[in-house]
Amino acid sequence: MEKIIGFFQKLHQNLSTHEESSLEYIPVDLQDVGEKEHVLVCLSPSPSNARIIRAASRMAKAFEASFTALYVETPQSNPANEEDRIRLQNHMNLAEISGAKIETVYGDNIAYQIAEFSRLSNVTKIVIGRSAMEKNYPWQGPSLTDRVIELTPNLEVHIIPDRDTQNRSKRKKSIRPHISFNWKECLICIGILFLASCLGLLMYEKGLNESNIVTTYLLSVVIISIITNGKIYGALASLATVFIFNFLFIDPKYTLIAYDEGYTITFIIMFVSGMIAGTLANRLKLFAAQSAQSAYRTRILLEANQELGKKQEQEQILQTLGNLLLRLSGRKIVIYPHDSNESILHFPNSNDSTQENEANQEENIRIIKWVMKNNKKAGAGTDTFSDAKDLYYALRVGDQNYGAVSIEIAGQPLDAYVNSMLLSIIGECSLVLDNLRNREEKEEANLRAQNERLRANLLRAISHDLRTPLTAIHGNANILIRNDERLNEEKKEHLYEAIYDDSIWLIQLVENLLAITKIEEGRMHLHLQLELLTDVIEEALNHVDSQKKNHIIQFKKTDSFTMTRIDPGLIVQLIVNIINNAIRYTQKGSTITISTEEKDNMVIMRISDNGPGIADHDKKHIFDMFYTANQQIIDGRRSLGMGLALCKSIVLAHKGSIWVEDTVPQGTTFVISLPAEEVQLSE
Amino acid sequence: MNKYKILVVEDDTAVRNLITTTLETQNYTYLACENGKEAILEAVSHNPDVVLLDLGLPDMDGVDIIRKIRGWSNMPIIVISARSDDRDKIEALDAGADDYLTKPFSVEELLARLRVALRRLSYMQGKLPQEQTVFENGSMRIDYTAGCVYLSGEEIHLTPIEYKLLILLAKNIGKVLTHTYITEAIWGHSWENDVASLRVFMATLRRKLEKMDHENDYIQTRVGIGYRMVKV
Repeated sequence: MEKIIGFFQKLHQNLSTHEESSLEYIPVDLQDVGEKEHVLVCLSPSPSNARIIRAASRMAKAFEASFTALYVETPQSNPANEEDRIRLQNHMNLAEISGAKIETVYGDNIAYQIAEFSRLSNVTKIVIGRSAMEKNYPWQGPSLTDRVIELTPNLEVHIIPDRDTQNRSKRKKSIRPHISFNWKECLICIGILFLASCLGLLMYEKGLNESNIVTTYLLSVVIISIITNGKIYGALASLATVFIFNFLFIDPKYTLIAYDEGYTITFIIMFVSGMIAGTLANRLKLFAAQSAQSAYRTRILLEANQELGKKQEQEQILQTLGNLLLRLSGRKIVIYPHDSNESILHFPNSNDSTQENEANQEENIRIIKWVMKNNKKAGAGTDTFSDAKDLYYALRVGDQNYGAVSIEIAGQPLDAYVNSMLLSIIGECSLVLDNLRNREEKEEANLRAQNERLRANLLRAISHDLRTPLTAIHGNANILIRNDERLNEEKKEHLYEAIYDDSIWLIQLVENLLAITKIEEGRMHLHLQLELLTDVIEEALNHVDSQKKNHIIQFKKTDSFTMTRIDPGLIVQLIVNIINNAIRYTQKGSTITISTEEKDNMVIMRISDNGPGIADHDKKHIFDMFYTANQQIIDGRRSLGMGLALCKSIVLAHKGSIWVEDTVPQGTTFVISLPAEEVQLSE
Repeated sequence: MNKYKILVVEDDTAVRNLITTTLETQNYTYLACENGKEAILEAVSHNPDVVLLDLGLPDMDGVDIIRKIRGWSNMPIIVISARSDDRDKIEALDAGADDYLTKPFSVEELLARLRVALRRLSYMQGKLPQEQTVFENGSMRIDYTAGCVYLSGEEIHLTPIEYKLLILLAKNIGKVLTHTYITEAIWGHSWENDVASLRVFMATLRRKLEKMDHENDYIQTRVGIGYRMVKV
């Protein structure tokens, strides 16, 4: 359990502090968290990947480890070409056949995602291909493998060399990002270059130095790099400036020839510095955009995390999720709770579903069922039900499903960035739901255990309370039957009385048991009706022990007609128990006084005696089950320790309260307050 | 020798023996049977004065027996039942039973209830309710024609509803009337408000009676069930 708690804490930290975290869900089999080995293989569309999967599978079998295949989906990998997609799908199938659990995470930084996943899923071994996706050129920084090793210092990383380099280079070419050539941006470039040239010509007219003109062109390249998207414009612009400069300002003018050999150096330096300045400016721009994006993402995730964490009920959590997703994507969202009895939530709130045709509805239900059963996404843009117009995600943690979410696609695929955000929030929501369920289960188990304990105690107390008087009745009757002639009248009388008293005791016990079952069944089973408390007290006095002739019982009636809504049988039982208690624990001849009053919308009933009183340290416990003030052992004679505990539960069931006070100068007072009710008289 | 004949319907031998022995000690004549069919047969052929009826019988529900007997006779029926739920008692009373006893009961209580039933019987046999213009019970005297109530010779002032309640109880003396029965008779319906009002009016009525006559408790409260006037 601690492990699980730690796990959630870690995750929480991760979500709130790290901007790059965007795990779709926490793919950990909670039962598997332990000493067991866990092998992780990284999937890729690379042709050599199949070999890596097989190697990893063999390793998993050898270690009897759990086996997970991870695919890190990056924003760039979304529009991967058809050939790659098929190959990746084949690899996924292969991994699945080899017994791996397929998981997908989203993020820009592949190494980081792998490391983070490994940490959260307690992975012990990572299997990775050396050439899987890496760039081995020294100027491009550490390779993916190196970065994974660096990020996971405590894990074993197994590297499978890739011999199939030729194939790879071919493939590389095929996935080189397509350079988008945009005429609008070209026009912008031309415009800026035109302005720069005008400025240059002006400076030339004024007889300013050529270096000013060169600087102006450099500035124009920087501006172009900042304004346009893609490095290509900056590169083209710096090349263009060289030619324009040559054409306009270098003798012979209006030709691309320079008389002065020295200008060749100027041209080269101009081109290179233009390139570098342009690239730097472009990078700066990208970086600013990226950091703005990641800050935005962090904020959204943090807010989502906080907002979801505040909610205590599934309905509220799903509502919050729906609103978050709607705000983020601006598309129609439908949430299907796992329990089909609960209502489906539509965002924005509408009843459009009724307008949809029947066939569509049926298809919808089929997809939802599939998503919940397989715990995988389906619908538009996926391999399953790809002709559907919505995209369906499962709300899941491990193998546990908590429902499904559908997002309207209708031919317009989600932006990769928005998609990964949606997934993060859906994952977060699943976790909150999982948390909620775990908490509920724990509470339920606690309650069950408590009930079980109570029941066992009750049974023990009851069987004792039944056995003792029955033994006495049985024995006394036996003596009377067998030794009738040998007993004198006085002795016989004594035995008869003992039998009678014990039977009365049993009757009381049965009444209490009946009351207990009624309370156990809950408030719904109380037979509540409006009663005058005085009537109820009078009725109770008829049921008090026969021993009452040894005590003086006074009932101080008042003139008020305060009504309370009660179950008369239970309240009678309550009063009988308290009075019997007073009779049992006070000396013969003691006075028991009952009085009522009305105060602050409550009816207050006091039952006081002038007996020895209750010690302060016992006062706290007398309403506990099986506590008897005089005896420490619950099996002591005539405990019936449930008497006062029952009284308390009866009062609580009526939304009232009960407590003990000292009677002045001596004795005990039980105070019971019950809600009063105003009555409009019928005439 | 007591002239009354009592029919005891009880399937449990021990309880039946307890009841018959009790009746014997008080010199009542009794008939005993242990199932519903026998009970109806005995009731028809011997026309007992009072029936002591157990509700849980092996062959039929006690409430059905009450309905059948009420089909031809007004003989007092006292229900004896182990069912402690008020609803069962109310059902039996509404079906026409006069009184009820819950098991376990004390022998004294059984005899007291029996005496109440027999007093009612003799009262009803003495004069027919329709003809009577004056009702007398202990020191209480109700003049129906004048609409006046006297206690120990003094007139007591009642509100119209209190008067109606008293008359209703007086006309059904000895019989336990359920809350529903009373409210329907007084207000024509039995809404929750009526039942609550009934409690209050009954309490004021009882207090007025108590003030004038300390010795007798004319109206008994059966908490959760209803009220009845006792023949004193």
